[in-house]
Amino acid sequence: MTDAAPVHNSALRISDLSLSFGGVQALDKVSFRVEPGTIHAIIGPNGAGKTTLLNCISGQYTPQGSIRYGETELTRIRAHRRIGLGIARTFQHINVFTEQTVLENMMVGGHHRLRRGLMSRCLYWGRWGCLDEERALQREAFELLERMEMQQWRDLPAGELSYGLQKKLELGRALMAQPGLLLLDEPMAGMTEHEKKELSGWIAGINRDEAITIVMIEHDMSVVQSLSHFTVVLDFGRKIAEGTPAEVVKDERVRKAYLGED
Amino acid sequence: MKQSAEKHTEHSAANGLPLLETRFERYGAVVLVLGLAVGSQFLSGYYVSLLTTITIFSLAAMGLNLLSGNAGLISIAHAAFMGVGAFTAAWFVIDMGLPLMAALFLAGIVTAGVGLLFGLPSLRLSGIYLILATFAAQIILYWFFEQALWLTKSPDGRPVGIASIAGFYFDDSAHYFLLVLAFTVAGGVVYLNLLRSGLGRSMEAIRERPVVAQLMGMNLQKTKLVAFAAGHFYAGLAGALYGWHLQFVATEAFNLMRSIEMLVLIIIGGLGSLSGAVLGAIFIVLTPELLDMAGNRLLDDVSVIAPMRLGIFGMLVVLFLLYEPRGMARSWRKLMRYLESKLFNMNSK
Repeated sequence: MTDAAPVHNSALRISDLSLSFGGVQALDKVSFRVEPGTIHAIIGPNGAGKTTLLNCISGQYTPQGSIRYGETELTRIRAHRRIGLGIARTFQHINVFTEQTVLENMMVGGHHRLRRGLMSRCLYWGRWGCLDEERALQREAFELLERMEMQQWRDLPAGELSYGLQKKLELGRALMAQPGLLLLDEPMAGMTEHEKKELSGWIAGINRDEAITIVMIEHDMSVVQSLSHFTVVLDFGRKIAEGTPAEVVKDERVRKAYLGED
Repeated sequence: MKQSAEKHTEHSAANGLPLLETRFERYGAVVLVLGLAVGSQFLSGYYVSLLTTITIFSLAAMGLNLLSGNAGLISIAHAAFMGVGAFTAAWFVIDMGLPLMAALFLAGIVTAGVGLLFGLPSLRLSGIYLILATFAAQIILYWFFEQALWLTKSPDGRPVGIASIAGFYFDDSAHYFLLVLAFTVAGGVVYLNLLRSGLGRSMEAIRERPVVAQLMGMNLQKTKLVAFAAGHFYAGLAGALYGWHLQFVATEAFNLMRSIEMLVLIIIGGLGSLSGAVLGAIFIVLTPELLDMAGNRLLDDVSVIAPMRLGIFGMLVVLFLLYEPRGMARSWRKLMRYLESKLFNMNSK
């Protein structure tokens, strides 16, 4: 909690990233660069390796090649340490803790900033207790929930929220980590048009106001076009195109592979 | 209107997560503890003994609930670890001449250490394989109690005499109950503190969604080891208290059957909650007594009901798993919420 808000000026550089699962080449020498403070969309048909790529950045998979975030080679950092570098993510399928309250879910997001040990957690109160950092985290969660207009569900088990709100909660949980780089895996999937519009505004807002770099997998091309600064297109584990969204949709290979045009 | 405004301020103050959720629960807990402390002084020896056993098992069950209910590491060796605590505490007091309080604390520490030791190879195991590893721990520790006569004095166990602190002898079992109650209340508060702190959240997270937990910066191995250490500290302390309750540390009291009983206790009581540990302990201690009593009254013959005891016990377990798999704690919670709304006619926090 003593940490000052991190300055987000790290670029993400992915070079020659390859990963195969038993003969299936999930990623094949993928390289691209994400400038700090931008929104990068990754698009491509199902099975193109988009989620695999995100999993490599967040640390579930160990690929060949290099992922550098700022000065740090991520492939050498264990998964649970990457959030400390400012990398947080959400998941394609809902991954909130359904039996925990909305507040507790949010507090999990800031977990990596807790410093107190077992003894202070046993005591909880007093000079040697962990109450100080618990309160600080709780206060942050209150503020963020208020900003997200979710404070009225604070004490409800997360499983009782609607699908859209659970997705939003997951985004909030990731923001509680105070990330410099946010990885979003289909944040709009299954949402209504209204919810999509609201969430798009939100994502643009945190990118603009807090200079959080965003790498986002998204299928809805209108969302991609309105939201992202750059777009990378994957197909069968290979990068087949990149550029601004407008450039990418004009690309012949992209039309063939992804947009299903001849 | 005023109510909701108050509620909002209380929350916005960010005072940490509450120890107990409702005012009703907070007052209820205080009344329960005071009632037990005073009431126990007027009960006959038989009932005090039952109360003491329930209270000690509650304390032990908090440890197992932390390990198995919250962290999801199922163990069928909890009784063996209680044995570690009982024998080391006896050794510290009788052989080393340490005061009781120090011995109780050290017994907890030693048991936590032994728990860590057995926890290390279990880190990569889960599900049925982890249960088998804890089964091995149970067998090894029980074998050790039978062999290590320098510690246990005889294969049956060792007498430990009457507990005493600073010259005060707990020769009245009702007085000893107060000591046990004090430790169990402290253990309960610590258990609730752990659950509402970052440790509780990380244990739940690791059990429910290990991948998410890891990406949120939680160290899976470290959290599991902490659960092993903390859970077995409770086992050691409870085992030591159990020794002086019976005034004899019997090896047989810590066998596999008792370990399974402890697991049944938290499943029936309710996984991962304090009320689950307490309700389960009441169930485990009282059911055999009630069955015996029923046998006496109805059949005039304990010898008929005694062999059926385990069978009836098992049947109750199956019924629970079928109809209330979340344990008694959930029914209890519903009942309390109902009573609260009837008594106070408000949803006070």
